[in-house]
Amino acid sequence: MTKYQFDEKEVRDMGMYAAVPGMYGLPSGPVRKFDTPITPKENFLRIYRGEKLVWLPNMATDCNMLQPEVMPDAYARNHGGIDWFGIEWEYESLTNAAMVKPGTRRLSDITKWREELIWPVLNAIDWEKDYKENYEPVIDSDRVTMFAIVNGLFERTADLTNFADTFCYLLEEPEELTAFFDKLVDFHIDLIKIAKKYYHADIITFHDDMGSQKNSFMSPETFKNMMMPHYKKITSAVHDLGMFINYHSCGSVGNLLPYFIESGFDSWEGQDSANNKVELMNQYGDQLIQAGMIFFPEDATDEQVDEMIDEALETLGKKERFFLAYSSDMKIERNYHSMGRLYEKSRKFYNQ
Amino acid sequence: MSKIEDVKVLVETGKSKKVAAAVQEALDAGDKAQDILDAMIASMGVVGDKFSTGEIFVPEMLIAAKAMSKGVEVLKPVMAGDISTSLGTCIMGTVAGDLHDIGKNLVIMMLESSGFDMVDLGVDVPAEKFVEAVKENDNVVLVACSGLLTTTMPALKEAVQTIKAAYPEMKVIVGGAPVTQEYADEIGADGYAPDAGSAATKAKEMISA
Repeated sequence: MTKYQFDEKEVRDMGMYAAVPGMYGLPSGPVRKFDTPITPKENFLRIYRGEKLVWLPNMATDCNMLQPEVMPDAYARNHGGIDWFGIEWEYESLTNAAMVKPGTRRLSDITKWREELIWPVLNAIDWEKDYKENYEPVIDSDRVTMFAIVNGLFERTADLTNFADTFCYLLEEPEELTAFFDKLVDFHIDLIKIAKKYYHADIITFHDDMGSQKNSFMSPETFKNMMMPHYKKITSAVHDLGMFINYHSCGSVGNLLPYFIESGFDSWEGQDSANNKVELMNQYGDQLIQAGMIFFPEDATDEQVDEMIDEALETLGKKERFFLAYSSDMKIERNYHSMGRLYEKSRKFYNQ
Repeated sequence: MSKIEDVKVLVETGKSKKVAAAVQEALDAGDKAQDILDAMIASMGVVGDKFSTGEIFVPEMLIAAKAMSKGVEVLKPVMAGDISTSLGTCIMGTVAGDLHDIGKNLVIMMLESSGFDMVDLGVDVPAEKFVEAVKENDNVVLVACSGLLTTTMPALKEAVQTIKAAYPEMKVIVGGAPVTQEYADEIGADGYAPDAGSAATKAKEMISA
């Protein structure tokens, strides 16, 4: 295996990557570029292939993160409005995102999904035009491309009805829910094909939150029976298309990780504040990559920024099965420097 | 197994489609409505404890609450006007600026299953509205305030302090993802519950103190 010794010239001013329209309605801007010995895409894919890393993959700098707002789901989730399934979303400024308008309900009952739902027609959207106009001019093929699909199977059902009913359907209406999920999986697979064909995605990030702050929403047994067969179809479709799949699932879900693995997810983007991610890395890291966050506080000193990076590398980063889903310096003017420190310190860490 | 025992098992295992018939059978067999209700409340206590310890999960807890509610529907006409069945009224809402209702709804179901008459103020509830609700409703013994966001924790504090200023003796319980016992103490709440299961136990404990 080739060793790439760090060279100071890698962190010289290389200019910036152009701003790519952001995910989750977040503002996007140009991001720092490094003179890397292999492309950021190659390094990012190394983690998915189980190969030696050259530095800590960092979505903020190494990834074209796409969530095209031509998708009604994306626009409604980010800004409010009506999504693909006719659900009304209301923007909530405190979280800078939208939520299903309280008190509304698109589907009266899961047993009525065949009669009441109008399924989106994906080819009604000119995907090629969207890519050419909004992405092609700014996407750098040296970076890995990740395509986000929000509102997974469980979340979609809750959005269409409500959470309480959806929890009950898991145990009381398994046949209807399974039939609905089957159709929903087909829809997602068609969307995944679009992500590959038009947006040249390398990784799909698939959202379906599975836990509260304290525990998983459902038992491992329920997850295994009701969710896993459907996720398997999605992950197989992604892999058949030559892509990888990152499962975004918030909440305390450590008890479900064996089933995330069995479902075929390559990585898990979990909630740092609700899980003991180091322990889970030690236990499952060989089989499931983890994505996490690092935010440098505004009042942190440069030394403290370095200490936070060292700690992340020494704990989660040690197995080379961890990447940064989001990283940012809350002191905006220091972000260029902090991203440089992340790159340089991890370059040295992984090439000792 | 006695008819009441049947009802208990059906509630605990969330068999909502069978509970109504079982309650009716228990009544027909001569069991007192109050005893059947007490048995169902006891079952929900077990369910709440199992949820708090992680033995069961949200779906199991919810189908149990749903089963209990089906059983109560059968008992209501029999017990009409008998206020001794109620632990009192609890006013509940998600505080101002916060639109999240999942946690609140779970707590409402559990408190209702424990014997409280619930008044749901919904989400984004200004502090004054809690006070108005205490004034407008009969036999209010508890106010429950929920907040999911760290950014709405000040609104939780304002709600507790406004309620306490208007009704110093009123018991106030708080909860939500960012809330801790320490924060509850700091803002002057009388109680805190980390989840819906323990909220029911805590609420009963608070009103009997």
